[in-house]
Amino acid sequence: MAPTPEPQRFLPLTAPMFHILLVLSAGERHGYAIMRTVEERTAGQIRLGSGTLYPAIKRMLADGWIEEAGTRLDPALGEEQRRYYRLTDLGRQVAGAEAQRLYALVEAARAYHLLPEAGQHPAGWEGV
Amino acid sequence: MKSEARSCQTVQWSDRLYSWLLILYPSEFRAEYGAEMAQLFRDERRDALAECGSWGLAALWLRTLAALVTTAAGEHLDMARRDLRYGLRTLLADPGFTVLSVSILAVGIGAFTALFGVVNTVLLRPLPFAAAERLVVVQQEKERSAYGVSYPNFRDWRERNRVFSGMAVYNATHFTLAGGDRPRRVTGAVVSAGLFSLLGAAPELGRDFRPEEDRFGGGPAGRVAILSHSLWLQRFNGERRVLGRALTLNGLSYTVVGVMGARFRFPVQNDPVELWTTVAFDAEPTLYGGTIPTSRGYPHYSAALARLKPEVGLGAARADLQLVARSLAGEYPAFNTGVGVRITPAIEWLTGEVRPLLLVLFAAVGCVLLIACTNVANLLLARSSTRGREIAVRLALGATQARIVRQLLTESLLLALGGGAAGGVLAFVATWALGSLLPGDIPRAAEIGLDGAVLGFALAVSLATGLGFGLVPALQFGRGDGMQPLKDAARSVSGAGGRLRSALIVAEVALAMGLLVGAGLLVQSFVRLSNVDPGFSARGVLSFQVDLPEIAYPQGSSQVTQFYRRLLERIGELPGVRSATVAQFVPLSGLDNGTSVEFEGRPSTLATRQAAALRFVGLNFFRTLGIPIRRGRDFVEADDANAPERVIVNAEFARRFFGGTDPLGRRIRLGFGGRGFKEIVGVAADIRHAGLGLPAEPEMYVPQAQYPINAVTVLVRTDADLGAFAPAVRSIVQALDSRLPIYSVRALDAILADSIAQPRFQTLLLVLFAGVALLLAAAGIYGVTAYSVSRRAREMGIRLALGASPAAVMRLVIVQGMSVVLLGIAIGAAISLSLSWILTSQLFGISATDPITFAAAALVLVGVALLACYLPARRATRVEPMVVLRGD
Repeated sequence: MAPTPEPQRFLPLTAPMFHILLVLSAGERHGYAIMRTVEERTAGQIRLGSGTLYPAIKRMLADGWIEEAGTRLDPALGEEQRRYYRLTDLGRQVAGAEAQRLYALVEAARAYHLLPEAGQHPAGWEGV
Repeated sequence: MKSEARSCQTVQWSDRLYSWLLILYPSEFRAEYGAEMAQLFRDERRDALAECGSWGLAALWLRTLAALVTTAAGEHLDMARRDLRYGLRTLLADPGFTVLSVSILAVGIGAFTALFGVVNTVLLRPLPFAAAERLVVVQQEKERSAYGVSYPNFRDWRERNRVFSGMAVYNATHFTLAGGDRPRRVTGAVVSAGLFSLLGAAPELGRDFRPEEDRFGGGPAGRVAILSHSLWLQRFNGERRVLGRALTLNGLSYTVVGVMGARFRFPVQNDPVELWTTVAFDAEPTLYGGTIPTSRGYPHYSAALARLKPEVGLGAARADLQLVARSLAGEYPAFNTGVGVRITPAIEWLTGEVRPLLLVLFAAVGCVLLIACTNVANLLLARSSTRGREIAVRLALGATQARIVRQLLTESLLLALGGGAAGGVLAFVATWALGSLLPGDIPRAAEIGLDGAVLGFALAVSLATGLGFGLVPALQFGRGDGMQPLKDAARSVSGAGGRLRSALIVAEVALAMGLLVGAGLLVQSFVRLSNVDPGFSARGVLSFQVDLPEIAYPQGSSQVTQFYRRLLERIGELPGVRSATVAQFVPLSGLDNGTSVEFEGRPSTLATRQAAALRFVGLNFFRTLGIPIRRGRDFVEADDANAPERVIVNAEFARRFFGGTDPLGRRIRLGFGGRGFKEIVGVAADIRHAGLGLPAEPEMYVPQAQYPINAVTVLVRTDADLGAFAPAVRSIVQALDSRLPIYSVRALDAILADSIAQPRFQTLLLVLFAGVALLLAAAGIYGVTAYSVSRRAREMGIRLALGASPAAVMRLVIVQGMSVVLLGIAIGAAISLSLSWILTSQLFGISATDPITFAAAALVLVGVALLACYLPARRATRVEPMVVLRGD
C-alpha cells in the first residue's frame, strides 16, 4: 500500500476544484448536477462548462480525491444514463485542509480589520 | 412551425459540432470523457435555450469554445509531459539500445549536417550584395564554350543592351605594392567604373571610380586606386588623410581615392582582394604594341557583371544580348564571327564547377543518413516486439492504440533529439576537419561553419528522422491486433514484423550498394587520374614567382632578359642545382595562355584561324621539366632578340596542323602581337597543361629572350631538399634587386597534387561514407539475424534434437539472412545503374556502369553480410535442445 499523501501537499486549490469538492461532500453527483450546484452556490460567478469540468474531474480522479460511483438514471433528467462521482477520504481531507487554509486567511484579514467580526456578515454575503 | 423546425435543426447541428470538436482532445481523454462531455453539453444547451433562447446558445458556444481550446491544449501538454517522462525512463532502462541508437543517429545526422553546412555556404547562401539574385555574368561564347570578354565587345554590350541597369568588367589580379620594408604582392582586381554601384556598394571613405578613369593614364586625378578596409588599416593605420596619397603599384604611381567598408568583398574568392584599380591599369601599351582596352579580339576579362533591370528575366536578357552579339559579328567579322553571348546567374557562375561535386557528396551523405534511420528503425522494431507484453498490458488496462503509437513516437523523437544533439557536436568536429580537407579552389570555403541555419536544419532533420524511423514500429503496433502479443506470449515469430525488418534490411543493403559502387568508381577514376603521365617530371623541381616592375624593367626590354639571365646563372651556381629556367605559367597551375595562329602559305582570315596554346619559356625549359624534344632542337643562347624568331611546337600541334608532313622549317605567325613569321625549330613531346584529365592541346613555345615578359615563374631542378633550398633562392633575388618580392614558392609536386585536389576530396569523402554505410548495413544484418535466431531458439533446438546437423542449422540461418541481402544488392545495383549518369561527368577513364566495379561492390557486401550472418548462425548451432524446450 502506498502511503496516503498529505492533503496539504495539494494546496492551494483553484476555486472550481474547491467548489466541486464541496458539492461532492454532500453526496454522489453526476457532472450536470455538479455544474448546476456550483453555479447556483456562487450565484453564477463560477460556471463550469463541459470543457472545464472534465479535465478537472480527470485530475481529481488521478490524484485519488474522487472516485466513480457507477452509472445510473437521474429520474429528474429523463432517460439518459449518467455517471456519478463521489468524494474519497483523501478528497474530503483535501477539501477540509483547503477550508482550513481559507479560514486562516479570513482570520488574518479580520485581525487587520479588513473584515467585520465573526457573525457580522458584510452586505451581499450569502454564505457557503 | 417553421422557426421551430429551424431551431430543431440548429440544435442538432450544434450537438454534432460539439461531438466533432472533441477531436481536439487526446484520444485517451476523449474515450474516457467524450460521451459524458457531449451529454453535459446537451444539458447546458437545453438550459441555455430555455433561459435566453438563441442568444443563450451563442453565449454558451463562446464560453465552450474558449474552454475547449485551452483545456484541450492543456491535456495534450500534460500527456506529452507524461510520455516524455515515461519515454526517458524506458530508454534509460535499456542503456545498450539507447547508446547504440543515439550513436548511429549521431553519425548520420552529424555527417549530413556538416555537409549541409558546406552546401549551404558554398551553393545556397546568396552572394553578399544587394539584390544579388539579379546579378548575372555575361561572357563571350564560341562553339558552346564561354571564355571571357574583350573590352571593346563589353563596351558595345553595355551601350546597346536594353535589359541591364548596369554593367561592368573585372579581372582578379595581383599588384606589387612598393613601400614599407620591402615590396609586397597584394591581391587586387581591375574593375571598370560603375562596378561598385552595380553591386550596391559604395566606398566607406572617399569616392567611387569615374568613367573617364577607365582610359589610359586615368582621369584628371591620374591613375586611381581604392583600398580595402584591411589594407587601409595595415598600410595607413586607418588615417582619414589617406585620400589623395600616392601608391606605387607595379612601378606606376596611383592616387588613393577611396576606402571600401570592412565587409565588402569582391570578387568573391578565398584570397580577399586588398586593392582595386580601374581599366586604366590594363591600358598601358603591351608588348605587342596594342592595348587591352582596344583589342577586340583579345578576351582579357574573365567576365562582365551585369544587373538585370526589374521585371527582366534571364530569357529576355539572353535574347537581347544575342541580338547585340549578332550585329557585332556583322560589324567586326574578323573578331566576332561565331561569337555569341552566355548569361549565367552570378551565383551559378561562381559555384558552377563545384556544384556537381558537392551535390554528389550531399546525396551520398543523405544515403548514409537513410541507412542510419533504417538501422534504428530495425532496432526499434526488434525492441518493440520484445516489449510486446508491456504494451499488451497497457492496452488491456485501457490505453488506446493511438496512445501507444504516440508513446512510441515520443520515444523515437527522444532518441532522434539525442542523436541530433550528439550529431551537432559531431558536425562541429567534422566541419573543422572538412576545413583542412577542402580543396583550396572551392569558393567561399573560408565562410564554411555551423550557423543558426545549419543547426536549425540539424534540428529539423532530427525531428524528421525521429518521425521517419519511429513511424515504422509505431504503425506496426497501431495496425496489428493489440491483444495478440498477450495471447501468444511474445515468443512466436511475428510474420508481419519479420517481413518489415527484412524490407528495411533490403533498403539498407541497396543504399550501401549504391554508395559502394559510387566510391569504387571514384577510387578507380582517381587512381587513373593520378597515374596519368603529365609528360614532365615534377619531382625535385621548386617553383616560385617573380614580377619585375615595369618602371625599372620596361616591358619587352633587354633589362628583363638580362635580369633573368643573371638570376638563372646565380641559381645554377647553388650546390645541387641541375638546371633552372623561367616560364610564364607552370603546367597544371590552372593558368593558361593562347592565341590564334597563321601558317605561312595557307591564306586565312582571323575568323577561320586555328588557336593554340602559347608558352613563353626560358632556356633549358624542356631540360628542367624533363620534356623530351622529339624532333629538331631545343632553344639555345643564340635564339635571342637579334636572331630570327623561332618557335617550338608540341607533338599534338604537329599532328593536328601538319598531319603527316614535317613541321620543321615551316613558319607560323602568332595572332596577337602581329610580329613576323617564326620558324619551327623543334617538336616537343606533349604535356598535360590544363588538367591531368584533359587531353594535350596544341602548344607553341616561344623563347623568353625574344619575348621578354616581366612576370614569370622560375623553375629549379635540384637534388637538394626543396624546403632548405627556398631561402637560398630568396636571398639571390634580393641580392639582385632588393625591391623584388618573390612569392608562391612551391614544389612542382605540390602544384601537381593540387590540380587533382577536388577529385581527391570527393573520393576520400565518398569512400568514408561508403565505409560507414557498409558498417551500418553489417550491423543491421547482424542485428536482425541475431534477433531472429534468438526468437527461433526453440525451433533450432527441436531441429537439433530431431537429428539435424549443426551445419544444416547454420545453412538455414545463413541462407535466410543472405536471401534478403542478395535482394538488396540486386535492387541497389539496378538503382545505381539507372542513376549512373550523375557520376559520369566526374569520372576519368572509367565508365559509370563499369561491370567490374559493380561486381566488386556486390562481392564486398556479400562478404561482409556473410560474416554478419555467420556469427549469429554459429550461435544457433550451439543451442542446447533440452534447455530451450524446458524453458516453456
